Amino acid sequence: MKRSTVKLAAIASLALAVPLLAGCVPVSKNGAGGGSSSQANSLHTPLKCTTDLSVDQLMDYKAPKAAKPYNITVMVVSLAGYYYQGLVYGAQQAAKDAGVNVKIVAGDGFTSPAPQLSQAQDVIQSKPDAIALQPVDVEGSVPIVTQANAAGIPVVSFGTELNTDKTAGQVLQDDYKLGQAGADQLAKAHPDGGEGILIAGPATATWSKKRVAGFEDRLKEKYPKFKVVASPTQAVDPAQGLKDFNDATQAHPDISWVYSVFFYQLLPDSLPGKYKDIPFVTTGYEPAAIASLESGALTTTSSVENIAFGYQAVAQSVEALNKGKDAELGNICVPAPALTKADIGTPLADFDLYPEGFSYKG
Amino acid sequence: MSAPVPVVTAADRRTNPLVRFGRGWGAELQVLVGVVILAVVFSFAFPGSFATFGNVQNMATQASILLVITIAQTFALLVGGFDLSVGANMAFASTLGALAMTGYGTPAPLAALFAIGASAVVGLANGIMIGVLGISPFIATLATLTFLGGYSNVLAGGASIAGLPSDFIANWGGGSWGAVFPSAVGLAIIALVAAYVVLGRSRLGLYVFSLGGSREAARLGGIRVRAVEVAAYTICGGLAGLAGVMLSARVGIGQAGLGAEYDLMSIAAAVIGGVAIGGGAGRLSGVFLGVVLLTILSTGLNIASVNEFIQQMITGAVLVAAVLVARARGGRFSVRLFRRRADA
Repeated sequence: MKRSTVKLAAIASLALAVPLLAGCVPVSKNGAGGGSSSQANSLHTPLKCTTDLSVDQLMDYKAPKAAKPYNITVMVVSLAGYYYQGLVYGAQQAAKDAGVNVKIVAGDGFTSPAPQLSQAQDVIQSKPDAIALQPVDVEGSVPIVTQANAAGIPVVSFGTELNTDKTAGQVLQDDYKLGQAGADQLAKAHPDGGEGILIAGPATATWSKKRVAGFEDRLKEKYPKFKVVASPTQAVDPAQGLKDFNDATQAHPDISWVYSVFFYQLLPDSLPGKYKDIPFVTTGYEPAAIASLESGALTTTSSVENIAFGYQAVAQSVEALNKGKDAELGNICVPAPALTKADIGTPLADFDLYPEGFSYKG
Repeated sequence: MSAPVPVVTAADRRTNPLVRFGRGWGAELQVLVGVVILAVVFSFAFPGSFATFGNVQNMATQASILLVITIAQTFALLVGGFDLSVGANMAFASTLGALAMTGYGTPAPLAALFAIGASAVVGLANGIMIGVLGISPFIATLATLTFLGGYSNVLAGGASIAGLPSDFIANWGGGSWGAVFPSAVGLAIIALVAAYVVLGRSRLGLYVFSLGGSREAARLGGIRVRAVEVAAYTICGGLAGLAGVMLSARVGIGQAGLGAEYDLMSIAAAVIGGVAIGGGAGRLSGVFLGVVLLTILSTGLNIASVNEFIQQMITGAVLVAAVLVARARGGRFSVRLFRRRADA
């Protein structure tokens, strides 16, 4: 067979392979891949909370005094970003209040569970008294808990749900309810409704999928005047978010609102002039978000309580250690208050900020 | 800019200038055909959203940053290497520039130039590692990528830097010059013209192509191989810094994570445009078309609301197809095409 014929055949095969493979993947509108129906159902279900902390309870909470100076390792996904720095700050404050030693182990922002598992195996070797774990994946990070428990180390997970009942406790924020709250905030700011864009996070991230589910379910349930005309997914990258937004508005130029699952998916101040005044609702409160609230580019944001998460992660670890083996704290749910421009400088809003100049570099 | 010398037979010379033209411009023609096909398909499929002046402006602004970083990558490719650290270098420039403006009150133009200069120093370091110390481009630039990823975060304290001055945002990629001409497009044009002058009209450009063509021949020809290689990577670094500044102006923050996806996209755009991996061949016109093709593809797929995963598959397939077609042609495709027409 002539070489040119072989090459043409190879090119044709490749050209056919892509649409064939693409057609084999069942995908939902917002980019989530095919998965089990139970997983899909759980996206649309609020968390079951053993303890549902109110805002006042959260702000007044103090870590229990440790029975002895425990060594607790806090595993965070990354140190890059105000959110993660806030987690670390909160963890260190709790350690001070409880009288324990805290060691921070951070990843480089990995999004797959395998590197986190490798890191956890190293942590287990150092035999801490407890591990406070920020899981990467609801299923994929479960082996960390199994292996830690086998080594006699209790695990308190925080931030993202973990599909296991073997943790000593889980400190969580209900992402589904966060999404619902986003819809409520949007309806309050923009009662007229209309078409809008939903900027989703990574297509495989449970936190993003649940916020999207909560938001869309709430719109369907209570606010039929609102219509989501585009819901692109992307990594937490403001440049990519802006690109996706601009592309979406080519097809839908008359949008009148934006909901973004997280502040850094799409920066409100980066929107083109035509869209600068439309209601923009998101989650996350930090200096950049404050600037957006002050400029009016951002309408409302929900607190993601990053400092409280870090604080609670260590505090609940101490609680579990004080109670001893087989401590079961259940799901401790952290609230997500809405914050607007009027809240800037209030104790509620400042609760989300760490001191200027703080920076944990590892 | 120097082009690979077309092989023109005696018959061609007798027959048809189009054949000679096709040989010399085969790479660009085929990318241009791809661009036109995609543009036509998306325009017909989405006439109200793709084929509009607003979308052309949208694509032009998006393509500008990719063009600058692809030109940067081209310098590294032409000398027979590549630079995996361009994305991290963009983030480094973004962070430095933002810190200079917000932390030290540096005027925007000075801060931008400072950031670009710092990125050029990073490129210089790459060049020294590769050209002088003989470290492979993969290892050297991977090391730089990893180092800069951490260093940028150390500088920024792990947080994003907001509050950039409005004149920086307007003039360096996020707005327009004189409220009329998109600054991102203007900066990309400046970078393109400057690159053309260097590659096509300067001795350095000639040496860059010679080095990529054959290192040994260049050395025997008296070219200071190491100096040329260092210069190419330094230019690559400086242009990456410019792209980082533009990206920072576009989104309005400095951040150590900006630009992560541009490492491989810049290589993809350059290769699609005919820049040879291994060095010695490539045109800026091809680079431009490669950028346009990728921009049209991604914008069209976004407007079509194609799932993110499918987009990745399609982009990967397009990249492979472009390289296979480039290999299959060798100038023969365009020669055959024009010869057939000429004979008709």
